[in-house]
Amino acid sequence: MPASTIEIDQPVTSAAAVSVRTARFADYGAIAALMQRHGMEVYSREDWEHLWRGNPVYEKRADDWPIGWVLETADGRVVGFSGNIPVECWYASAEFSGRMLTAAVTSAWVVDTDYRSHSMLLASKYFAQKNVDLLLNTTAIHVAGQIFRAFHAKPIPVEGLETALFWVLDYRGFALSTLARKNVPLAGMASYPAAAALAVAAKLKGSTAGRSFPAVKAIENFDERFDDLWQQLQQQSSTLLSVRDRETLQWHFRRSTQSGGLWIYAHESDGRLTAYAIFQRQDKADVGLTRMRLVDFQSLDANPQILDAMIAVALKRAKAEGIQMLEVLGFSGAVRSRLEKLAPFRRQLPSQLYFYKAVSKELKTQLANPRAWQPSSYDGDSSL
Amino acid sequence: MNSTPKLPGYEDVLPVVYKALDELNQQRPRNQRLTASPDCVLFGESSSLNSLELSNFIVLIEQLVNEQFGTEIDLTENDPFSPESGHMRTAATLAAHISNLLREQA
Repeated sequence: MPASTIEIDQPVTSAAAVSVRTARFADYGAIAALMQRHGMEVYSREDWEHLWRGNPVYEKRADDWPIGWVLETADGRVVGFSGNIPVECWYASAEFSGRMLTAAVTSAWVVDTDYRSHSMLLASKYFAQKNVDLLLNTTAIHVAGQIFRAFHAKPIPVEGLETALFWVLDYRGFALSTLARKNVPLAGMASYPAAAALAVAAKLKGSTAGRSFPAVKAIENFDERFDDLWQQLQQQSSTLLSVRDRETLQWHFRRSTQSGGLWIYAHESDGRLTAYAIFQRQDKADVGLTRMRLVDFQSLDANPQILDAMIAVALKRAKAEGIQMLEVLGFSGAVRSRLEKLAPFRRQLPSQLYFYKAVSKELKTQLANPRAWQPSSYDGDSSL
Repeated sequence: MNSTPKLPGYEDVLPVVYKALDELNQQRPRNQRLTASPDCVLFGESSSLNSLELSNFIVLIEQLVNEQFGTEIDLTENDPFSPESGHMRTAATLAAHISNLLREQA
């Protein structure tokens, strides 16, 4: 889902009375119109409802789970919305016996300009939830981050989350879209020297070309082997892990799978899945940028060459398909270190995107430890 | 002879709210500054604060209360923005709520 858009850079002059209430599926039309007014990507009704209906956690919790909240004027106009998507995460550590946790992910937060001070009503409802273990925002732009801080949420304590790593596959196309985003005049002409500079920088960093890697193969669907891998990941892991069983992966990536915007690469051993990487198409159409993102990587094997191999095949395919860049957000520990070694370019994100608030004191203590985290774009709503 | 320390009351807390308003005003254009008074509207129909300012104000006032009274409080609990009963409605409702919190935690 798109990042929250509660950008506020002007004082509110007046705001008519609004109230907050639980959102209903019947609000789709009004919410879609609101999102459209603010330039957000609008999902079809079916795709939007699928965020909850078809969500394995919502199916269990539908009776007591608000799908979000709307701000409504006295004459019934919807002027604000924040979605509330349930997900489950597994967490186990030396001090915390393995437990499935319920997280509420805030999503598609949008409020009309005249009513933006009332964003606090939406935040207040979201943070008042008591039937969850964790509150999570993985697409928090600057203002959303400040609101989250006011409600005692914290940035995920992992270094490097403000920096995206990337590879450029089409230097001229990438330079053009970057210059367009910065509103540089004569972007077409300026893109030639910019593209040349990028190519030199990438060569200096090194390349994966010509190296030999462990075998990985592209697969089309999340089959039953993902359940087996998920069970093993649960046993091995000591970080907070969003559930990655077959059913949840199918729900999470349904939209991308149907549109052909998902690449899944797998590494196998004796017919069993031991690692996978998921790349998702996330273009930025307004500036003409075509982009794949590594949104998930899981491996039972610490061999870093498996990740290298996944990246290498994705780079090759992206180049062949004319995609301008491959990008990575998140990750920590050995995976992040490896990605930093591999990726030739970095860009600073406008702000930290990942915020969380644990409800219990015990979980607060646990999650204050950076080693409890392995965040990726799979967490929250970044790749939904 | 032991004397019980006086618990901070509304009159002790209101100046802290004003101090936070003063700091908030430093970030606002001169003609849009808030007047420090018990009736000063923080949230609601006639408030001129946006959500970023409200967020920063909450963080600031919790810090000031901690510095002044040595107590950590959370102003985001108990439906703070309720139009009928929320403590973030005015400077007065906020000061009253904070003094109640300080008494409860004493």
